[in-house]
Amino acid sequence: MRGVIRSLKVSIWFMLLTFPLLCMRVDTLADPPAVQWRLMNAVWIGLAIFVLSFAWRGMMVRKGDMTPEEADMVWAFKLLERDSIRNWAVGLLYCALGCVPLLVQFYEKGKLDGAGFAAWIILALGLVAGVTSIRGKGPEAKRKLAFVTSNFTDRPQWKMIAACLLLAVLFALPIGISGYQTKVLTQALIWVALGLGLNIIVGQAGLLVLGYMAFYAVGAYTYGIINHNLPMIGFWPLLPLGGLLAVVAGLALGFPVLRLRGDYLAIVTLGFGEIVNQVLLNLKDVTGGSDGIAGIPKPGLFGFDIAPQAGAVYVYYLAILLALVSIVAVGRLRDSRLGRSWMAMREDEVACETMGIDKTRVKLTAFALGACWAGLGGVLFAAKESFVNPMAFSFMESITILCVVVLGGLGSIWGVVLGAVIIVALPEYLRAFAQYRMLLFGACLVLMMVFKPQGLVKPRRKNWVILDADLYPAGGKKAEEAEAVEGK
Amino acid sequence: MDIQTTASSAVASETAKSQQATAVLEVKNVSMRFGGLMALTDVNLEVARGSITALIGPNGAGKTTLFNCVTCIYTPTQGSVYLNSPSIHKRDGRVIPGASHNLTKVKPYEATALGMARTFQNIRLFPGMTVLENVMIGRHCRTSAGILGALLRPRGVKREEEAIVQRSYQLLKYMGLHELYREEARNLAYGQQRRLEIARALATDPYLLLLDEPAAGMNPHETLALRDLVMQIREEFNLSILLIEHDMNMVMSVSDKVYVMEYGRVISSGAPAEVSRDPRVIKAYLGEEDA
Ligand SMILES: Nc1ncnc2c1ncn2[C@@H]1O[C@H](COP(=O)(O)OP(=O)(O)O)[C@@H](O)[C@H]1O
Ligand SMILES: [Mg+2]
Repeated sequence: MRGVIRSLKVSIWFMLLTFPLLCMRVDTLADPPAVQWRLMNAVWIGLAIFVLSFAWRGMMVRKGDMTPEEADMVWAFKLLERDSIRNWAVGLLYCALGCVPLLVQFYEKGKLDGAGFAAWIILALGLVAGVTSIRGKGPEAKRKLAFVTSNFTDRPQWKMIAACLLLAVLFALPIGISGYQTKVLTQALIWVALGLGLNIIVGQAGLLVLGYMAFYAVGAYTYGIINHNLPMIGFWPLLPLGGLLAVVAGLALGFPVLRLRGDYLAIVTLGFGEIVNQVLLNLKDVTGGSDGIAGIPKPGLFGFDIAPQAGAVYVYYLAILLALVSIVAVGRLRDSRLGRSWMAMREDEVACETMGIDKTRVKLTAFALGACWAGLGGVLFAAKESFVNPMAFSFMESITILCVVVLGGLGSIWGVVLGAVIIVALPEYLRAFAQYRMLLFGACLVLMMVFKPQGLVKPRRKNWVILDADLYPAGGKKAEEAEAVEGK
Repeated sequence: MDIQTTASSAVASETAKSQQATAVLEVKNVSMRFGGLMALTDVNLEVARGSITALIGPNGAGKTTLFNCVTCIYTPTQGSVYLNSPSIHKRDGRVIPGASHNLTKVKPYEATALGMARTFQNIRLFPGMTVLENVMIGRHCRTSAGILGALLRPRGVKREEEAIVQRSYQLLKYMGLHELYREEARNLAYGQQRRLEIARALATDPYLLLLDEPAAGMNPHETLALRDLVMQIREEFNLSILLIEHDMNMVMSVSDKVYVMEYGRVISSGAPAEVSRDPRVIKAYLGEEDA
């Protein structure tokens, strides 16, 4: 606490000192000359100095010029002693370094161009360094031996680095490709999130849902309708609201169908999707009927205005973020107590209930979480198109998203990613075959069903690895590790 | 959870107290009707604390149906089932007194949380999950991580997961299945699957275990091993066991009390030796002996 007050004092000092320089500007062109106030600058300076003064004192302690007590930073050093926190701190710092050029570019030019390329390299390096140290694979990270580990603990480092580089390439792509292609990629990324959401319901919990696009529509129309009527409410507050309303819709669908399984469930959810679509078409006063709602604004960035062209790129970045968050979140859900109970329910409902799992609750969470992703994706979709109409949420679309999941591999996260890219992006680049699109599509699915019914990618999940000396032949490497663990 | 606790009047609590020491499970006048078929008629049964109680009878007698009524999968058409939880002695010296729970409106998962676990006559494992995961599912009702815990994975949740794995692995080791812990359950041999089902049930920390024909399909050698296992887990985990079994050797040597059912009724009950002499039982098993 004392440390905070100390930094606060320093930052107030700096704000006062630099105030005349940075925050006041005499506009000589005006008549009579007027003073322009730039109060936001003072706030930014204050924040920066506040953070920097901590860093400065931290450095002094490191150099040995101060003790942690003198710097009032005992707590910080205690925290940093914990491996995970140190890795996160270092990682976030690197990531922040990488992101600075991005923000500067946006702020200065309102768009990205070739000059930003160096910035991208820094961003890429920052991301690689950041993510690897967040994952505890940084140079100083030691591998901890534990009785219980998992197949994901030993993930090779090159995979992380490859993922980061891929990410950096994704980030840099809009520099090199046209606005239209950026839009196609954005759509693919939104579909990754959608597919992952549906994958929770269909792949993990084993509930066949056909009207999934209804939840997508809920998200998109939340943004469209509310922003249309109350223009001061922008993208950011409506993003969580869209997700939330989709959750409500998911629960509303979930309750009545709790007892249904398989085909029956599929038919009822199909009906639900159609109902939502008909409501959108016929409730003309609110939804604009088949004309939909136009003029939906792009999201803002901390109050800065973004040029329209850069807006599309910005939405693309948000889509990357949404896809990333979905991948991580859905993976974590799958490997959790909740994910396990989804799987158990899929395997055998009666056994699952007798083993102490509340089936109702587990089913409803699957519906709610699956719908949530569709809602978030929907809000982003509305922002991307700046226009929504019921066409985008038709039965065909619901089937297509189901194809993404089935083609990629039920229950497989990377399968869904692959499926989304194939199904959204390929048709755009195969314009020549446009007439035969559905035909190709159908043929692909039939071939899949015949030759690879599990989908393109086999689902993987966390498998626990146990270091018990009894499990391994004596003298082997594993047995030695196990003994080391037991000796601890 | 809406678990009903009975014993409100002084008299009722008095009787509850006296039964506390003896009965874990009380089945009172339970009848179960499926359309025109009376699968159970006025069944009364008690499982004494710490005992192994056997339930025998020809196929179709209604034994499994009774299990389903007890574990709340079916709601009996008439009568009720009471589960008497034991008093728990906490480490800090506090004693949480046992209570008598009427299971009429309880859901299956709530019954499991109360401390009752079962196995199935036709094995119902989660075939696509690993052996370890099957047992881990059993820990579900004793753990609490939710959606946020799954997404953010704070330390507490990680610890909980590791504790689940450790406990499940211990149980597997106890059952001699630990070397197979990464195998999918469907790949296990029949006898191993039976043992896995018991391990999974034990993972829910029950005080009452219901085994539905655990020796079905086992050879005499495996049956002997199973008998020892049943005796052993009763001691180790402080269980009361209700057992459906056809193997007479096993029933006679393992159980403290035997109930015999035929056509949905209990036709005889008592110590194994008494029951095996009961003419009605001999008749039910060997057919009418015209005299
Ligand atoms: N869900 C059900 N619906 C209709 N009849 C049933 C049902 N469950 C069991 N029964 C009938 O109840 C009788 C008792 O079956 P069961 O309890 O499985 O016998 P046991 O386990 O003693 O061999 C049988 O006639 C069976 O067909
Ligand atoms: Mg039976």
